[in-house]
Amino acid sequence: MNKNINRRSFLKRFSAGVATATLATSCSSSVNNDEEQKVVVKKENMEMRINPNDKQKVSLIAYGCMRWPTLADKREDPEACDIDQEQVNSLVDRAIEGGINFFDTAPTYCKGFSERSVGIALKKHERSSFLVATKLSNFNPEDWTRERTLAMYERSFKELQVDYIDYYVLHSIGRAKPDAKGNQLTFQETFKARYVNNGVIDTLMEEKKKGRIRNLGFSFHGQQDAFDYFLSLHDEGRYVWDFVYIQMNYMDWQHASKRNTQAEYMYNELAKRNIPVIVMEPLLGGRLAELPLPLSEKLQAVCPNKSIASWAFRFVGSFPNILTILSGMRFPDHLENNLETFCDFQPLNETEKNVLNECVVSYAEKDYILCTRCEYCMPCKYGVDIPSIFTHYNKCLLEDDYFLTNEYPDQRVFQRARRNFLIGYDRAVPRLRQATHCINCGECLEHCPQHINIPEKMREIDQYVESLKRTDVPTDVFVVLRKELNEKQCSLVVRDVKGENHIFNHSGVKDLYTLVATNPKLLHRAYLADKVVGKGAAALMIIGGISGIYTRVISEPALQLFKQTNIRVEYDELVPEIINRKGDGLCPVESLVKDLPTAKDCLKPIGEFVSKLNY
Amino acid sequence: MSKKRIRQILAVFFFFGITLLFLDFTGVVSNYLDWMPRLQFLPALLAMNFFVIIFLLLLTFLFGRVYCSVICPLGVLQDIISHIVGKYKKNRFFFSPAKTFLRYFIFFVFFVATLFGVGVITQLLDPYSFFGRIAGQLFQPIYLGLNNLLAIFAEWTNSYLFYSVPIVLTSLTMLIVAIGSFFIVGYLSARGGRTYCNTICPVGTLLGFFSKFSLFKPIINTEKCNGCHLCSRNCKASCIDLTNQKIDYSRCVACFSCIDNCKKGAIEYRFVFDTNKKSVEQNAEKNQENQMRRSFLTMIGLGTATVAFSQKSVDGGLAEILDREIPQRKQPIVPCGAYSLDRFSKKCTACGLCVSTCPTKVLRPSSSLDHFMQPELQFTEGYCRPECTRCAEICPTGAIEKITSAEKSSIKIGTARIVSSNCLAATEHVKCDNCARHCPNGAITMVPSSEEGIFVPSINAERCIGCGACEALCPSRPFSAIVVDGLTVHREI
Repeated sequence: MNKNINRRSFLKRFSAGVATATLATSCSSSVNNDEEQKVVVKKENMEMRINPNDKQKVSLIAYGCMRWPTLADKREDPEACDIDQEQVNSLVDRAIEGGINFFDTAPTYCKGFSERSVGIALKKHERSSFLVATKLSNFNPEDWTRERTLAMYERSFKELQVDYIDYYVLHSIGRAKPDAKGNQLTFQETFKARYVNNGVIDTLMEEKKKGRIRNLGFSFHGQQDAFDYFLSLHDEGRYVWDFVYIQMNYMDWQHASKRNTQAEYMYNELAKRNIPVIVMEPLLGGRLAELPLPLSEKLQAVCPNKSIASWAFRFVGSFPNILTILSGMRFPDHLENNLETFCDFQPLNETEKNVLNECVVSYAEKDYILCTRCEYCMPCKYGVDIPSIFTHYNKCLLEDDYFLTNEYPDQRVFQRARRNFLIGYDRAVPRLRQATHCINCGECLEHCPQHINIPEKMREIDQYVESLKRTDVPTDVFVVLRKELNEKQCSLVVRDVKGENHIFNHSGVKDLYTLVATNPKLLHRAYLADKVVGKGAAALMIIGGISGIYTRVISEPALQLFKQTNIRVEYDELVPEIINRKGDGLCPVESLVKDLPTAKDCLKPIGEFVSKLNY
Repeated sequence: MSKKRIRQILAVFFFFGITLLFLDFTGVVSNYLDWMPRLQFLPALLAMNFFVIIFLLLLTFLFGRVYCSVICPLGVLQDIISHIVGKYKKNRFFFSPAKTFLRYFIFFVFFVATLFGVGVITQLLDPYSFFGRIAGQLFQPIYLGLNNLLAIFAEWTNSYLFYSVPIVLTSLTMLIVAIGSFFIVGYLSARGGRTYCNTICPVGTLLGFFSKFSLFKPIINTEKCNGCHLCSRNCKASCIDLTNQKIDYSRCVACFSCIDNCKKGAIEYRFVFDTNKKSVEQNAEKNQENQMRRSFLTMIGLGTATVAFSQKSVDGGLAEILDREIPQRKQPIVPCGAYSLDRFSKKCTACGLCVSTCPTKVLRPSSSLDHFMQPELQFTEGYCRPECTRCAEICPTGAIEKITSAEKSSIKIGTARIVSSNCLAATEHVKCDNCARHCPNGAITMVPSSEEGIFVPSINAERCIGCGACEALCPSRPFSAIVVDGLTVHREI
């Protein structure tokens, strides 16, 4: 035995002892955590769907390769926008290990480098172990010739390093675009120019027979008539669509933007024809992964251990005709989160569906710009950073900072929010890339799959920023409203959150009731000016969620009702009660709701009263 | 507390106050301290602020050149440098006779130059402007850098307390002059204490006339003095001639060091007409420095390099943005409140306070010889925003007179003109109306051009006030398709 333990070996033993001790404690703590039952991520657990055409198994989650990690992510070189290939390789390896077998890319993605990157990452895996989808992205009118379009097709094979493509997609059809000379075409003409007139689609059909393409379909962004048209081609047997890519998520299900088609309609039409659906934008460009705080709290209360994003995936995955769901997982934690969701896939149950539906309704109330950061609009020739501007706008909307007009009751709140907005804007977007540099050339318009009127939005944001820069002293909204009420000689002025005035001329509570019943969004956080406010009107205003009210005459009970809320009230005259027009008794609405304690109780009797008046 | 300590506290207060004015970019400090530069001698003189002038002269007549040791930031800067050097080298000063001829000669040149509006000489010699250049050009970038560092931390923590501001090289000429000035002053003060103040500085010379006869002075008590020379060896003004037991009061800056240093209490600061007064004056001389100047301009912008205006075929990325070049203007544009180019160039001492404070970095020191170092407007980083009147609020000389933002939007300081060969609407038929859309006065309208369906901008010169919004926001780069020329005389529209 060596009794002379020198200092070094002592330290060695000592540290080994410490290490074991730490190991022991960490083990015991992980046991504690495991009570929450961990999902086992492995191939066998992955939720699979079967393509009815070729009976091939497809993982319900697919890897969207539109947003690969860049070198800039690592902060090694903030200017480098090049793809971080090492990171891509490890993401793809992990995805395949976890059971994902569908990879979706396109020649235009990641500044044109996505296909190559996917090809490199997939090369070491067996060809039969994965399915790859790519697209025919001949958006540019110069690419509409047969030669150039087919060259794009052939290049995909080379870039992806494969000899057949499992899913070949006619990229984003359904939009009307101008041709090379600038003439505006209809969506049919655009489709024909891109694929039919040059004979490309027939060639692709032949390629399918040859086996170089296994499934042929299209991805769709557009309005319902266009969607119907493309399905009619299928019904007539002109072209057979083996699958269709549609934008589907719980927002787009029934609340798609005006220029898009409701996902519910598209899904049902496709299910009717038994065409498998591949889902784009399950998270609406990431926005459904970061819901506004009150909404995310609601969801977390139901499933405390699941991510907000998982709700979106489970919503879409609950439909049986979905073949796979595309998700662009840029960071490893996104991937892990999705693997967990899909290795233990559970469709939404009834309670969950109801909670989600509540969120959808309140989310749809706000005027978010539906930018998904796909960057199809970029680069803007004039250097404007369109997606970042929209992201900042949405973020402020989410934090309620945007709804500032210069008319604001509280000076300090206004000044703080103003400062935060302007500083945040400069942080989010360099000055030379801000909305003020949008020259309204309109070249981005045709590229936006969400059909956002980008120049118009830019102008709105620019004007808003300009108005904020001009002054840090808010003008009192009630001064403005008082003037409006006097000048317009009307009975009610509603100044909505955007600062637009709406004038109403009916007497009594009729206008208010109609608003609450048919257009509640208008009253939400609005400021009102009214001539006379009784308890009935006050109840309707509270239900409508207004922020403040100026009135010439207010009744005692109405004021009492307002005091239960934090609505700001200003009035010229306070009366014990509102009398009727003849002047011989109580106003009928006032007497109707006299004894009801809360605003909500008043809604029903007022409704009955108003409908009686109508007949 | 000794008199020296009081002097030091006051000096530090003034020095940091004025320096902070030059560093601050938020405009907050000027709300509290904008009186400090107005107390400076030459700015007050140019602003015809006789109240201040009389106060300063009276102050000097009463207590000696307290102005030089407390109020003047350049004087305090020299004291600070000299103090640091003094830590390593004790008892390094000695009496030197005054260089009277040189002093008066420089003062005469300065006087004539100021009278006839030869701005360059006034600006180079005025101690306040001298300091302003150093603070604005050398200290402010460091301050902004620190601020930007804090802004990064703030951003990490989602705080809006600090925000980053671009550090813009407003003028290379000015930077070179500032570096030169700093080294000259640094060298002179490290070597000879107040050499600059007692040989070159015209304000020092002028106040020297008065301090000779000041009512309170440090006076040597010949009975107590043992001739140890501790006072003269530590006098940064080199004005104590102990051999003859005389003090040159025209050079004494009332720093009170000698009083503290005398072990015998042989120097007292007291009323002259008390018993045993001893005061004579003497002369001095010193060397003189000249400043080199050269001129060219560069900019540190946000984006860089070129963009090929080609049809896009892949998604993502950002188009590169070319740096904006400064165009040829028929006349320089001077800020609103200057009223005319002549008046402005006579009144402005080129201290650079407005340049430091301009939030959009529109004000730049000029490099043309006529208006050397005086600010002019350049729209490479932004434009002169209608709600901002910070330069007018802060200008101590009245070269930029106080105006309200309402007045500002009706004063015409320049006129925009279109350079059609650069206009994207005219040449490339791009649907662009950015200039018309952003003109705060509606002076630009889009009119049909000779080609069908193409609209080009047209300027109503009477409505244009010359704010530069159109020039700054024009998408044509590096040269804007719309250029603002200054007016020699501003007018109300």
